[in-house]
Amino acid sequence: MKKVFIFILVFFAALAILPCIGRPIIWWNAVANPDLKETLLYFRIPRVIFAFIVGAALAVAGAAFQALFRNPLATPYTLGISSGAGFGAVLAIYLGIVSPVSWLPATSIFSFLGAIATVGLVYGFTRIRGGLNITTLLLAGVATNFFFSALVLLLQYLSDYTQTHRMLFWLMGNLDVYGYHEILIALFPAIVGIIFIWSIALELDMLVLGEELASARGVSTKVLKIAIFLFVSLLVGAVVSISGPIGFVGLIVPHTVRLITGSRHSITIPACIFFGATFLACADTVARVIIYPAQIPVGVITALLGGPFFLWLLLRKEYHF
Amino acid sequence: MLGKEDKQCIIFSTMQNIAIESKNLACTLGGTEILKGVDLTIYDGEFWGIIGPNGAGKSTLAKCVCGLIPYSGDIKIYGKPVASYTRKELAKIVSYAPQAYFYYFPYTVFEFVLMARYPYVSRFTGFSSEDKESAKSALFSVGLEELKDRSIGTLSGGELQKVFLASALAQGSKIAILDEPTAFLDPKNQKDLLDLLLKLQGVTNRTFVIVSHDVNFVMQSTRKIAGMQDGRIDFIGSPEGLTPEVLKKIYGTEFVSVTHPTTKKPIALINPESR
Repeated sequence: MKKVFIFILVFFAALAILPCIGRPIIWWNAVANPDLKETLLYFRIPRVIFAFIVGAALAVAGAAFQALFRNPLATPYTLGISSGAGFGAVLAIYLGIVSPVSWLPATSIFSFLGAIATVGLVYGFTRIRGGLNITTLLLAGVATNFFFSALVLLLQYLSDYTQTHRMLFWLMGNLDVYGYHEILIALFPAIVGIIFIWSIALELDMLVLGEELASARGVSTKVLKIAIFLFVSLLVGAVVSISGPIGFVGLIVPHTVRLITGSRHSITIPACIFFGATFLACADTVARVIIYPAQIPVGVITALLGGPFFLWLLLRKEYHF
Repeated sequence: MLGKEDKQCIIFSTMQNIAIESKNLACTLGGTEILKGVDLTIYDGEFWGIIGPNGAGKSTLAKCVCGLIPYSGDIKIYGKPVASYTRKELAKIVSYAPQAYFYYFPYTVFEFVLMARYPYVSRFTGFSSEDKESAKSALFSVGLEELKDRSIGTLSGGELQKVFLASALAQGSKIAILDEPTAFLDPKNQKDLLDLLLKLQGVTNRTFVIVSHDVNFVMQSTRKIAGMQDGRIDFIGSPEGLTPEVLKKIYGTEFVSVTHPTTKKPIALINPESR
């Protein structure tokens, strides 16, 4: 538990420092100035908080899927949810659909529907084969992923230059928010999903032993698998439909955390919440300032920072999932 | 005429609880009929060995008893159908050690054994000190208390089997089912495991069921043997009943029987000159 406190400490340090970084650097005591106050309160703080939510959600979802599939390469997107969400968003851009509400863009609405459709498809497909077999689930996810990725490419090919640019921008992931609408929308599903996964930490430990041994020791694996599948999908779908599919967080954060805390999920999950949040907010701050006034897509930074960092961790310490 | 003591003995034996009872148990997996009507009655506190060639359905039978795979027909544990137990209730009564040739879990020996206490854990409190005591004493019973902080992945085959045995003890189940516990063990480890099983069975009065294709290990250790072949039980009886003829029927190859010079128990050897 001591190690979790370090993650919490780093998290609060990030919360205090990250909104100040940028051009100009704004310290918290500068809120007396109305211009700086607006930048701080409506651009930087919401953006950091939104990154916290997305990062925590993706990290926890990745940890849960890695345990469910007993596969270190599983990510929140393993079941094709990112490509489904991507297809929804790209379709909305291609058709030029305008959202009926000002605070939620059409891309978010469509990508959420796309994500839910993918989940339904994968789930239905797996159920036809009888039960919720993990291997079938994984393969159905991969197949669905390819299918929707192909549709995304097709729509990109058919689109004009500005549309393609918007599509690419969305697909790369983006945490740029103004005010607190996006945060309020993402917050509820994120909290429900994260609390659910935290509450089944012991069952996730048991799943790592394999379904057979977990069942023999008293875990109702059938119900558990469906619950993880649905809650994680809801969590990821809700977050990704606003932020776009930001890669690497859901893969790297859980592994990094396990390397430090070990594989007991009662510790891994809270550590993932705080480290996932901190990691994505830091990556996003880099993306925001490094080639100012332009911004790099945050997904590029998570991969550039996360990949080598992860390799370094692997070299330092022997690690098995 | 029966004496008074004999009568009491009969009454006592009929009052003994039936631990596992299967009737016309069948199981089909992936379109293949694995079990084709298995009838077996195992009483409380008995030590059974289930033998048979590869693919006879031994492991499938074990998994059906543990409620791990769907089946048709009847299996009752202490008079109640397996399917009517909740998973936690069943885990409190039956424990299962799978075939283990290689296991990597990112847990220590103690954590692994402690996780066998899952059926007793309440969602909000986690493992209690009682659970931890129980895991500790289970490790002590199998003589592995010194390995408690080792990672499961670093254990030898013999140690791993003892860890499974400790888990069965920690799980607190009256019935312990072990699938191929000796499969990858050298003679010394087989002997150690055998001694441990006999000792634990005597001390804890548990019902042990060992699934194995190691005929002699089963003949040396258990009192009751079921011989399976092609999804059915062909033989039920004592080690002495496993004559070369019975073994030929079960395994489809010639055996010769000799008597162990010190234990005086029968030993079955394959006959290399048979055709």
